[in-house]
Amino acid sequence: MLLTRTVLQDTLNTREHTDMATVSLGDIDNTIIDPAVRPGVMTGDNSLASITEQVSSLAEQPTAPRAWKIAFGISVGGTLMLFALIGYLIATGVGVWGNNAPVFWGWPIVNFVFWVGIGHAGTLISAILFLFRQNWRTSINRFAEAMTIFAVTCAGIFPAIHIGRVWFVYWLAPVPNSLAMWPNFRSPLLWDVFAVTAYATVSAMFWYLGMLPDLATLRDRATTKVRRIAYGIAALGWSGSGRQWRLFEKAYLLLAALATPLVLSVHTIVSFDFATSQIPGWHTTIFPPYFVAGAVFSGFAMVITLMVPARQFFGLKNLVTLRHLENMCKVVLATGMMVGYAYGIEFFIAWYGGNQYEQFAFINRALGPYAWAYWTMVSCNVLAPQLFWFKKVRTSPWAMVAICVFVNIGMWFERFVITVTSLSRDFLPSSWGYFVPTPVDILMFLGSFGLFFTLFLLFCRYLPMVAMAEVKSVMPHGKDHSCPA
Amino acid sequence: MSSVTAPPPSPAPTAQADPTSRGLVASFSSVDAVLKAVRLVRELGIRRVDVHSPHPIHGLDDALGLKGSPLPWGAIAGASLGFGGGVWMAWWMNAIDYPFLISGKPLFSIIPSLPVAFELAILLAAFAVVGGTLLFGGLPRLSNPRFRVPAFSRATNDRYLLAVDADDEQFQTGRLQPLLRQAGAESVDHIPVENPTEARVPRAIWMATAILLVLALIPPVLIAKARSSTSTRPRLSFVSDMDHQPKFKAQSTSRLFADGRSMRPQVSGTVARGDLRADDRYYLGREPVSSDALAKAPSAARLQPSALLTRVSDVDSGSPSDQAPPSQAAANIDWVTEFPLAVDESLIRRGQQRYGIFCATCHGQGGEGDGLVTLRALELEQGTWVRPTSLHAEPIRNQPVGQLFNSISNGVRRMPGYASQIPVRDRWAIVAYVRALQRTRIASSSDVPEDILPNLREIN
Repeated sequence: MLLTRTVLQDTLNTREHTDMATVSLGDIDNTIIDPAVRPGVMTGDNSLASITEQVSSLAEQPTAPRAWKIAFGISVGGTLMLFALIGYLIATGVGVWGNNAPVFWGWPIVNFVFWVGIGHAGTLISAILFLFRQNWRTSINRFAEAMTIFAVTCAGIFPAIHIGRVWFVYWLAPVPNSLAMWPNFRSPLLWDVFAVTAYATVSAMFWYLGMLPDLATLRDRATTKVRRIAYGIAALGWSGSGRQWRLFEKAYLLLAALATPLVLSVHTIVSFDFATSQIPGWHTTIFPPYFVAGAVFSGFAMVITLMVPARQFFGLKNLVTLRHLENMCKVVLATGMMVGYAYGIEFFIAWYGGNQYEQFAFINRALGPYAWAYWTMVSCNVLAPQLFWFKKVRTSPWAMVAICVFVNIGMWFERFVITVTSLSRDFLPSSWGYFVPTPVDILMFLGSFGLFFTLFLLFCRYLPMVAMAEVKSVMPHGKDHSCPA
Repeated sequence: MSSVTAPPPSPAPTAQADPTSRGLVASFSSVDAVLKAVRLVRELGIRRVDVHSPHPIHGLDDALGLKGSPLPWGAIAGASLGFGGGVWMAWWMNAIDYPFLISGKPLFSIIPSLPVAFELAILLAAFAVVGGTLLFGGLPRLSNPRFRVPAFSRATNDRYLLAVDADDEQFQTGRLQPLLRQAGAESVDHIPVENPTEARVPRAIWMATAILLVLALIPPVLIAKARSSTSTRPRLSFVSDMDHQPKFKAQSTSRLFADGRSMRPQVSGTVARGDLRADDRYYLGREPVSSDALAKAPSAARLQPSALLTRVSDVDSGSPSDQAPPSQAAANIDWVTEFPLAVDESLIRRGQQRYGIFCATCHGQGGEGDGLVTLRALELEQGTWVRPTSLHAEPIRNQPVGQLFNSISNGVRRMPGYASQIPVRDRWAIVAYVRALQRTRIASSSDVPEDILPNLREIN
């Protein structure tokens, strides 16, 4: 990690002239931007041991807090409902959904794109911010990566059950089958299978590898035999030796470098599902960057939505500081503007391109039977984040949660608008229709939130929520050594 | 750990061979102290030394003499394999093993195979990186004697532990212990010798794992057996309404209706929309037959009225035919001589286009009976092929339009009927065009409008 070392040395040299060299920071406001002073990643008096204690103790409480139990109960209820509905769907057929001519891609695909999009922030924070040496990511990356994996889990369910006969799901993969036939490699739907599978696998490996040192910490602090064995197996015998750390850092850098193009490619390929078709409103070259920006937008909004209550509830305000939240708000604002630009340019191209079908598709979006959905989308995605121009809003946690909830609603509607408005009125007016979801559609979407929060609450309860080892390595005394005396 | 391989431990006289110790672990509270201690220990010539820390220490690699890393090479190998594998799958699976013809596109082209190749490159590179980390990091390793040193548990919390392996030939407890204390170690402990039975995974766990693995093999074995053998019992259907869908197929029986047929006949006394076809001039190309005449027709013809009209074989050119001799009824049909619809230029243009699609392949663009299919069939000397009569032959020119229409609809000699492919109006359009085509060979310059006449030039 030669590069890191130089960068870190520079960082350290700056810091030695600031108050960071002395650990005591108290409750200073680290959102104030002074170009001469690099703000600290954390606030408060932290030592290696206090970080360990603070983070590990959350995963070590003998009984869960009452609020956790209530939330977990509700989430498990939602999960069970989801699986019961999946069972009903498989036994009955996809007719239980509202998908019907001409809208054959209804809520299941909307939900899929929604969840995959949310699953982009974690890897973005872990990989891209890591490559850009944004040290502030260390407090939130574990949390965001966990969110990524759970969101991708929820996302993967919908296309898998959307195929109708789930027992033939292996036809999606290039495995020899009794038809002696292979999947079509020129189909974006096949690309999607590869992209989402690769993304889920690489994200899970990235997350797990990064968690090994912290699992070892939990193993070494374990007081009961069950915990010692469980965390012992999970930590794979990590001993924190010099050789292991060397490999770990190299692997982490390589995985970050691999995950960065991956995270950009996944939503690009998801957008190909639409963009390579001929439906007016789908057949646009702007889709890949537009989808990626939207994914980052929704992902960061979801991180903020979850992070604010979690840091409050688990007392992590000194690790996940206002500065973290403010930085994320800025990302939301920037990506929100990109999404707004894409909405605008779609209309411009429809006019400038002179294709009457495309022109109709966009006029129909804004003024047709789904105008309510379109304007919900615009208000939530373009107008609501504008409040983040004000520092007061960017630094008041509950205000940002409110805005981010709107962003998530807006981003669901974006996928709904793209999928449903285009399909419901395509080339042939005689086959136009209006999509109406069934109760199964609605309950399944709610159930997917149940699954997401079940996994998330389990993560909060049993796994290290903050990457302790990474936080320690960006702490001042974690760096004292970098200029060998 | 060190990149230098230690020679087998020799019973050096200075070494204190302590059978209860596998080495020493010293605990330090700061990075600087542990790095200093590492340098001191390595100055003694000891190579089997390592530092366990709660976070990566920059500068430790140099102090421990660690160099190079195989991981980037693994990543490159994985990425190459994934990319090549992706392109290979797209090529071999869709172009070689089971060619996918889609909209006449090439069977293989590089661009559509890129997304899969790209994703696989990333995936396999990530596998190589993670696999390499585990492999070269000696993971998983669930039993490690160093974990039995109580001070070691803080190596993942807030202490930096320096471990020296007793296997090192320069290892001397007597010399090292004071040195480490001098360097600022908070504690120096012996690494206990691992009890082999304790280090081993308990027998019960092995047994349970083995039993589970065997049990897990049973379902795939049963599936494999079922797939490779025959059975007299019907196959299991797990979701029966998907396998047996409630629908009627053509020509099947049904208990729902009294007559037992699933295909329903028309309700008596009704005609389906579009099926009336009352205008014989338009639909059949002949003058209406009175009901008296129909009653006198042979019974076979009554049952199937079209039998009156089909296969009017040899009324045209008198060429040899293998068809049955013309029936008297067919020869005496009263064909319409006037078009039963308005003929204008757009109809003739339509007929020209339809003629080009349906007729020209055999009859030729000019109607000479020299279409490409005909030429090819004659070239192959196919005995069964009958060359179409030229549309400009006298008998054809003299045929009434109704008869031409009938020939298109029901075929003539070897020519099949096109009624199922060409709609009625289009058939009349073709007839109109054929009439126009015929005129081109028998017209004189006086037939040409005067304003077009100057544009004509003579060709041979």
